Amino acid sequence: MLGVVGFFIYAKENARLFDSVNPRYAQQLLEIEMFTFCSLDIVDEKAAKATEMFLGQLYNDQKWRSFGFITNTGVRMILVLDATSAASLKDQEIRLIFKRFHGHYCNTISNPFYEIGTPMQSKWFDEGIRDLYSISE
Amino acid sequence: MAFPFDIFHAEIIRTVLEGEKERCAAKEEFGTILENLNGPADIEKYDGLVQKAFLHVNAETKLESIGFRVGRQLVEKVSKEAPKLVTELEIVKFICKDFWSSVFGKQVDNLRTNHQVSLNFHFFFHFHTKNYTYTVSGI
Repeated sequence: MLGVVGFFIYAKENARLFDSVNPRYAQQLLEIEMFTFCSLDIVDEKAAKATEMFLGQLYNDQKWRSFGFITNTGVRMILVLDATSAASLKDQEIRLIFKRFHGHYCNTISNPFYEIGTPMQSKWFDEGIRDLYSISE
Repeated sequence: MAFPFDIFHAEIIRTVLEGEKERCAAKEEFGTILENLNGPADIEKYDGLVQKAFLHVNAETKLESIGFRVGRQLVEKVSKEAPKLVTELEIVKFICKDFWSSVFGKQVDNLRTNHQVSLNFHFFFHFHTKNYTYTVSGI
C-alpha cells in the first residue's frame, strides 16, 4: 500500500481548481485540507528558488507528506501522501504523476466549455485520479 | 497570408465586427422604441432587444478574450516541456523562441529593450515589466 491521500491543483493566485481526496481517507478530510493549505504556503517559498518545475517534498508531519509542482504559468499542484504507510512512492514515480497531471490539466483547459478560473472537471482528471488511487492499493 | 490560419483569423474578425453592428442596430432600435413608449410596463415586451443592446462586449473585448484564451492554452502546452523559467529574461526568451516558433512557425525577428531604439517592422508589440519595456517584432 503506497498511501496516496489526495491530489490538489491551485491557480496562480491560489484559487482552487481541482481537488480529490482518496475515499479511504474521507474521515480525515478537514485535516488533509488544512495540511494542503500549509503546503501551499511553502510552494511560494520554494518556487522562487526552484530550477525545475518539480519542487520536491514540501512539508511533512506525523501523518502526512506533501509534494509540490509548479508550472511555468504558475499553476500549483500538490500531492499528499500518507506518511505512516510502509512502502512509499519513489521520487521518479512522483515526478511522473505530476507530469501526467500537467498533461491532464492542459487537456482540460483546452475544452471550449471550460471557463478560466473555475473549478475543473474532466474525464482526464477522473481517469488520472482513478489510476492514482488504484496504484496505491 | 502564409497560413490558412490567417484566413480563419480574418474571418473571426469579420464575424465579431458583424456582431458589433447588430448590437449597435439593436441599441438604436431600442432608442426609438423608448421614445414611443407608453409606460414602464411596456418595456418588458422588448426584453430580448434590451438584452442584445446592452451586452457589455464590444468587438475589441471579444477578440481580446479569444486571444487570451487561445494564448493561455497554447502557452501551457508549449511550456510543458520547457525547463522552469525563473528570470524575466528567460521568460521573454522563451516567448520569442519556443512559443513564437510553435505558434507562427518561426522565431521573432527582433527583440529590443528600452535601452535601444526599435526599427519599424510589419508587426510589433510592446509590453512592460518592472524593469524594461520590450519591443517584439515579426510574424
